[in-house]
Amino acid sequence: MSGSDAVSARAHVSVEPLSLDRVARAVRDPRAGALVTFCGVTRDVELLEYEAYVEMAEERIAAIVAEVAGAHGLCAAAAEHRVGEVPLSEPSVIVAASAPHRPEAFAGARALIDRVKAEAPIWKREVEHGERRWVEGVRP
Amino acid sequence: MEVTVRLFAMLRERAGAGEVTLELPEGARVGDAIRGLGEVARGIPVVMAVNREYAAEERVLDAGDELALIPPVSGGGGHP
Repeated sequence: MSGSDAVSARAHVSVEPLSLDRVARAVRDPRAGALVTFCGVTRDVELLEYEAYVEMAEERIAAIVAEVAGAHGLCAAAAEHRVGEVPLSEPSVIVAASAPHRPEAFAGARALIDRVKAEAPIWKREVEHGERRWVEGVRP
Repeated sequence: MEVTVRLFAMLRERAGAGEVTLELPEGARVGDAIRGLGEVARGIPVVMAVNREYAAEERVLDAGDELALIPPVSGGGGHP
């Protein structure tokens, strides 16, 4: 990617349900021949309940999106995280990366989700039969 | 100087409040603020965020800084 090319970068944290289509549309780019998306979904429990330091999470995710787009030569990148209750099988996080070819798109999407999980100030607890338990995390 | 530290997740529950106010000497550092919180962070590997960026314990604080004590993060779906 040359320095003059604009990179579209989108980061969002909200209580609204996530839309894979919306995130994928955000990384459409005429230079891109590859578009990779990843959804992290609730599994094994009735629901996960997410809490975030929203202002910082949006800034950190925006920084991650911009850094990963630059490092992997992406055309565009986006990441959205839902907070509040996320029921079984619904997505809590979606990332998308577009690039001229698939190696960069896959590597970029992988870096996006790995870094969002490790760095964004977001916490979750499992809710099952009315019991709530914080999920063990990683020190950012 | 007086600083306010926002708390989240298990730290918020442990403190029974979403923020706590600390009185610190001028020139105090992030590490002083963490120690000033006492029991709230005991046994939890925390990181302080200053003005929405993760900060080292040596960082000197200003009265107007936005502080938040960050416990281990667990964003994303499923389990770690």
